[in-house]
Amino acid sequence: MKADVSVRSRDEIATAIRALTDAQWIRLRKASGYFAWVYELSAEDLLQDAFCRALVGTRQCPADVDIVRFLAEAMRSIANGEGEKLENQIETVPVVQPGAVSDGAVDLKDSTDSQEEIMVAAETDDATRQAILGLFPTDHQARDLADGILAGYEGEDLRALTDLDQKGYASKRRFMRRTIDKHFPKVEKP
Amino acid sequence: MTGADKKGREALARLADVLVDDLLAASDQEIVAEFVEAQGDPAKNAEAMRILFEKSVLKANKNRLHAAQAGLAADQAAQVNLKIVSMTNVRARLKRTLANCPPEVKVTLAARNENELSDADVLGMLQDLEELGIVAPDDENGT
Repeated sequence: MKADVSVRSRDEIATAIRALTDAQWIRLRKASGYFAWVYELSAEDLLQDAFCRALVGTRQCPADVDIVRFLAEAMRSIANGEGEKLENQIETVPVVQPGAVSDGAVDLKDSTDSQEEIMVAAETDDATRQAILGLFPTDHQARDLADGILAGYEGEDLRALTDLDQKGYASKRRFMRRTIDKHFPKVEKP
Repeated sequence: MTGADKKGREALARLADVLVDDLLAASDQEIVAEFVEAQGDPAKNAEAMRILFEKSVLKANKNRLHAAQAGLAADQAAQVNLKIVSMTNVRARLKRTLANCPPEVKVTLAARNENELSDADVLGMLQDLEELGIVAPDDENGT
C-alpha cells in the first residue's frame, strides 16, 4: 500500500529553489562538489541534472522534505547511477589472429579482474586513503575519524573510534570537513 | 572499472555522505563564514547558482516539450495503423491468395484450412505474406 505523501509541484519546487538563501546555495554547490569528486563528474552537470529531474518530475520532492536535502539526495543518486553505469560497462577486446588484419569483430573481455587490475586499483585506493589521512598529520582522532568513515563505521561505533564525547566528536567532524574542504574537492570559486 | 575500484569508490562515497550530512546540519552562519574564508563572496555564488538554475529550467522545459512531441508522434503513428476491416473480405482474400500462391508457399499454407483459423491468425498470416512480398498490401476493405 502506498503512503499518502503530498509532493511539491514543479512550480513549488521552482519557487522554493529561487528563494534559496546564500547559505543554502553554498550547501548545494559544496554537495555537488563532493559527489562530483567521488564519481569524477562535473559538479555543474550534476547540479543541472538534479534541477532538471526535479522540474520535469522524474524525481518527486515530498512537501515535508527540505529542498536542499532533496536536491543533495538527487545528486547523490544521479552520481551513484553514473558510477554504476561505469561498473557495468562490458569491456570488449578485438578478435584478431596474430598477423591478421582486424575485421572489426570484438569479443567480450573476461569480467574477472586480472591480478594487475586488482593491484593497480588497490594502490590507487590506498593512495587516496593516505592522501586523506595525510591531511591530519598530528591529529590522530581526526585520522581515526576519517579512516573509520572510509572503512564503513557509522554512528556510535564511529564516535567510539575517536574516544571523544558528543561535543568533542561534533567539533572533530566539523574540523575534518573544513580540512577536507580546503584540499578536496576543489570547489570552484563563483 | 574493476571490483577493487568499486570498493575504493564506495569508501569515498561514504565520506562524501558524511560531509554532506554535516554540511546540511551546520548553521547558516558557519556555512557562510567558511565560504567567505575559503571561496569568496556568497552573493556572487548565489547569483551564479541562480543563473545555472534558470538554464536548467530552460533545459527541463525543452525536455518536456520533446517528450510531449514524441508522445504525440507515437499516438499519430498508432492511429495510422488502426483500420477497420471486414473479416469476411479478409478471409476471402486469404483464400484467393492461398489458391494463387507460388507452389512452395502453397505447400506450407495449404496444410491449414482457412476456415479453422481464428481472425487473428488470418490477419497475421496475410500480414506475413505482405511482408514477404508474396501479396501486395491491401486496401482497407480487405478485398
